[in-house]
Amino acid sequence: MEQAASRRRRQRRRLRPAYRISDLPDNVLHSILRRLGSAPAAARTSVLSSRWRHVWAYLPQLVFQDSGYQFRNPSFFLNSVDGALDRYAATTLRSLYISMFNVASRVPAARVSRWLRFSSERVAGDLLLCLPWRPADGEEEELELPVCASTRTIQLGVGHGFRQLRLPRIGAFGALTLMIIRDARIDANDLERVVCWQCPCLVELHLMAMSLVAVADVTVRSASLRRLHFEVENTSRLVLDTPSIEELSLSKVFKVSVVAPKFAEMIAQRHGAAADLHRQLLGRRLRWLVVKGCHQVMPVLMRHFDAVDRLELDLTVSSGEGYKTFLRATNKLTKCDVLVVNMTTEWHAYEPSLLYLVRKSAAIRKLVVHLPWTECSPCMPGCTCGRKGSEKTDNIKLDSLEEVEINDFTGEYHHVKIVKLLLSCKDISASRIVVNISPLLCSLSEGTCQRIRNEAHPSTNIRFNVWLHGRWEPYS
Amino acid sequence: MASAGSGDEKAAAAAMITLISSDNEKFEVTEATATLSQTIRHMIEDGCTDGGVPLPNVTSKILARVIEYCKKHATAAAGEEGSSSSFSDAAFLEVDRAFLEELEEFDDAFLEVDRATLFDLILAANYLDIKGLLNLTCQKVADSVKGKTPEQIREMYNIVNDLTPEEEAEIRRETQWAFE
Repeated sequence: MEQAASRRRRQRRRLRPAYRISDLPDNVLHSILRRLGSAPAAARTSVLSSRWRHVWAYLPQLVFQDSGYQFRNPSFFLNSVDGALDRYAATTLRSLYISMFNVASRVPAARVSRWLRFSSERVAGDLLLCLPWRPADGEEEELELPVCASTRTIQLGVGHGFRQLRLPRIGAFGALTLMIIRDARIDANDLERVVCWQCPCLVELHLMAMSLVAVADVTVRSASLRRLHFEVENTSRLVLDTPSIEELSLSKVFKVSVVAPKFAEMIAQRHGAAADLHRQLLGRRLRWLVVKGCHQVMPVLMRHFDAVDRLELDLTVSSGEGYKTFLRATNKLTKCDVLVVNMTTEWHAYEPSLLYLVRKSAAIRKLVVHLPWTECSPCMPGCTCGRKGSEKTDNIKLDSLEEVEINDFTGEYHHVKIVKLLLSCKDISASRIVVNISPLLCSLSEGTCQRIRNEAHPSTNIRFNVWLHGRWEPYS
Repeated sequence: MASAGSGDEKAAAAAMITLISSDNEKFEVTEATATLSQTIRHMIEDGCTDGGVPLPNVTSKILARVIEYCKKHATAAAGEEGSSSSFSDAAFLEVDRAFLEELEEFDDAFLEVDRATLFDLILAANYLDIKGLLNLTCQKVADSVKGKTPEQIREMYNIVNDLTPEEEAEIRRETQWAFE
């Protein structure tokens, strides 16, 4: 039987035409199969011929996506991941991507744990696991991430199907440079332990739409960390001890403290380092600082950081005492090159707040404004905003301003009003102005552009852009 | 075709490299074009390109096509380097965009070849280690396979099924999860 089969194989091989896909070396076949973007599709090639039988099982990258039509039934999806990981033959896998964001059913923790165990043992490069975002009702379980000693990047979208994400108590993520966790509930101790002790090479950490299982302080202590995006509810105070930090984004953090480097380290670094570099080493200079939500953290941040290339503010200004506390919190702004005002959360007294921030950033080279969707919320009795007095622009001096970018412009009355207000400032009017029309619109009502142009100084260079064919095109 | 000349000539054309196909045809190309191939880049770095680079695995017909690809993409690479410093300049972006579109058109036209040539190009790109060309050609094959059944793939690429019915049934059992 065996012999007959191999004889037939030999005979057929002699008859084959000169050019055949099966003659390509394994690495090229992998390159082709990888581009199918689907591990099951790659695995289906195993029935083509004996040459193809095991090719897929050594692919350096396995991808499972719920977007394919073949995964309408969620259990097929789960089976395909289980089946492929069981049959995978190479000792290490460079990247594993499992995305089931849109699947509507709950995935048992035991199944996800098997995938994570596989990743912990075999994935040497990148791991992406995106679990159902809003699974149907059912019992919430805990999920545990095992130590992944040789994984370089981990992106984990836990979704809302699990009670808590547990992190390992011992062991090190020795190769991990990037970690992104989304939508998970987590214990503050777990988080601190992993970030401060178990990830010695971590450069980038994003904690997005997360929450702590109980209110607690969180300390992020890492000598290697350069980029931090922190959005973790229930954090009573965030303590930053990150001397190498370059990009920092804080969302909905109420209290923050920044640990200054120890005196001994300062002395050690002062020798031989230029003053500028020295400051950078001490983490007092940032490339990017984003503050969203609470303005209470502003004074600490502004005091600690001497300079920021790009300062992005999306602060809440609520009616009542809100405006007054906002003014106090933003009284001193760190020197920045680009100021981005992106008030999307709650913007009471938008115009005076915007002008206040601009007035406080006299050294900016570029101003970026994202216009609010709706008009300001009305003043409550006893409101402190004193709107009328604060809308003067004649005392705004922006000597270095070169460029102003205004986004999400719809031509509505309140937008036109804000743009006119900005243009009434001499230094803004004298700079290069780009108005990007909201991507939701393709045109403006007749005359809106002209009205804006009339408002500006005759020599003002003002350009309107519209989002067409996936890019900004000049609008005329 | 040109070959290595005297010392003076060599100095004048310092950035030229001679590639020799399997059927002994010589192609003179600039170093910028040739170094899109990592294999040739390493040879240049090791100083083993005097007297030409023999490429015993690549016929003149295929080598001519590969050089055509490299020439086009070498200019693209040079353009990218030049424009990176003034990325905010709208005029530059305009030029870049037009050029990228042109490059895409070139790539599409370049892939209009029969299957035998496509496989030869893949093998040459793999041997010469030209990442962009390998990606481009493999993508073309992957696109043609996407959504096809094993039977359709076999027919399209003349793959002879040398599995016995029993073997095939066994593989299908093992990978049933992939067919659901």
